[in-house]
Amino acid sequence: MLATGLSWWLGTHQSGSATTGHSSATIIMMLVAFFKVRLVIMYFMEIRDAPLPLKLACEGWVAVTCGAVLGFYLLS
Amino acid sequence: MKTQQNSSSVQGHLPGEVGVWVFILGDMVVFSLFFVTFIYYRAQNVELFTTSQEMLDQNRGALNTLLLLASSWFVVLGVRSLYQRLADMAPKLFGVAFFCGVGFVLVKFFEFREKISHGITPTTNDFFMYYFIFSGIHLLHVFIGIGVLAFMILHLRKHGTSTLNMVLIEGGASYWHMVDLLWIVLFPLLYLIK
Amino acid sequence: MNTRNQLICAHSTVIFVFFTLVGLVFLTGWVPPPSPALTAEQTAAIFTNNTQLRIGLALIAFVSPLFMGLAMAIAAQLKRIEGSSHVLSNLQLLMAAVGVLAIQFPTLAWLGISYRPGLSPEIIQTFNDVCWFIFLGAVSPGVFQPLAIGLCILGSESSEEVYPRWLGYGNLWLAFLLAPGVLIPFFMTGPFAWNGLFSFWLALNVFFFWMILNYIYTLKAIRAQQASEQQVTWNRVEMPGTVEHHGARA
Repeated sequence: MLATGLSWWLGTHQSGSATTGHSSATIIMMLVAFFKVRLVIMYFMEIRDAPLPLKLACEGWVAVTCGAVLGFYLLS
Repeated sequence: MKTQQNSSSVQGHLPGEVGVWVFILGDMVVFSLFFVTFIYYRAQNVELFTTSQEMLDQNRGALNTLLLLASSWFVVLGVRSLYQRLADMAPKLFGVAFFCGVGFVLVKFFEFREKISHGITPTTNDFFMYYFIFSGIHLLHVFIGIGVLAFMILHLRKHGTSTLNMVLIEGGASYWHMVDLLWIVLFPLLYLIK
Repeated sequence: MNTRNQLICAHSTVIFVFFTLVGLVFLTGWVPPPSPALTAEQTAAIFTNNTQLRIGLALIAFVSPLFMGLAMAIAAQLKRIEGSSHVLSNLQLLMAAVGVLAIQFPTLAWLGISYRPGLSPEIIQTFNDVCWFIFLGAVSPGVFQPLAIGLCILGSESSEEVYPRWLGYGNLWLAFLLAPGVLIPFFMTGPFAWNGLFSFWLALNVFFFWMILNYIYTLKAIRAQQASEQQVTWNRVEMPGTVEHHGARA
């Protein structure tokens, strides 16, 4: 519940902060986005209680996708 | 209530069934490819992408994010209510989620219509190509998700607690959460990053 | 008898895959395809004096109907799931047939525009565009065929598992991955053009992966069918005079 509230708040406040036009703001924003994604996966999709292989696959997806997106962003 | 117990040697409850996760993870991998492709091509034309992005309505995008998050939350509540045997709550909760999903579609529809009426289409430039196609493909997923939610609601109406297929409910719920999480990434990627 | 023929059909997949890849990779060299952004003259140059290309195209055209072999074996197995109504297995089969035409027509048309020297580059370019729009752009049979398979597997009410359920979901996923090809006519550059990441590279890999995956599991299904039919024969031999339902197991 708390996580949802946090996400809610972050979601509404992000559109404001993004207009400062800085690379670091973007990085933080994407990290927060993937953090929210991980929360959705672990708690909404209930992967926290899922068999280990599935859990690892999901964590892996978050890590690789986040890494790849930020990686290519930083290379620009 | 039929529940599927995973037969793997590792402990834990598998929501839905294995096949659903083949589909969901597969879909997520494809969207990862979309995200990376976007960032890669953006890196080659940052100027174009940032100026084009200014034409997007961030508030609408944020509203959509809230709609999907809220609807996911209602789906979670709905699934929990089934486990708590409060079976009559579930269709209503899924119903609210359904309408949130419809809300998303409507917001997106007006957003696209406004862009097109200003002459902005997928072939206007590279940024708008990705904008229309990726959020379009996501929108297609939302459509399918709404269908899945409707199917879940109908299933609940038809079946009492004894013949209820939780594999179906959990699988459908997981799909909807996927739709939600994909937008959580897509929104900042398209609308916000500088 | 029936299962032996099914196996023959299924194994034609190997011939199809092998020769199509030889044709594409080594003979035509169109991995990736020539860019849509080339000028008419550059495109025309590809089709002039290019015997290797033409042999590759003729080869691909010739083996393409063998795609129906796998489709037919799949249909036979899907029929076991569907029972008396063959709607989805027939739909799958017909989609495959349309798909074969989507290979035949462009390859033969490419042979056509490389046949006579002295054709105007504009004509060659236009024909080339149309051919790619069909070869890689006509994705809908390739989308609806796995969709039919997936729906059939997932909708199965039969107690016997012909194909594993996850393969039904797998087919649905792979079906969606082929869909981007529909965007080919709208772009000349970028990932959605006919030489792009999604419309070409992803589609190529998905197509062959889909074939091999379904080939493997169709073989398993046929072998399982053979085993259960063997069982029936043995039952009849061991217990003459016993009333049997067709396909009953021990």
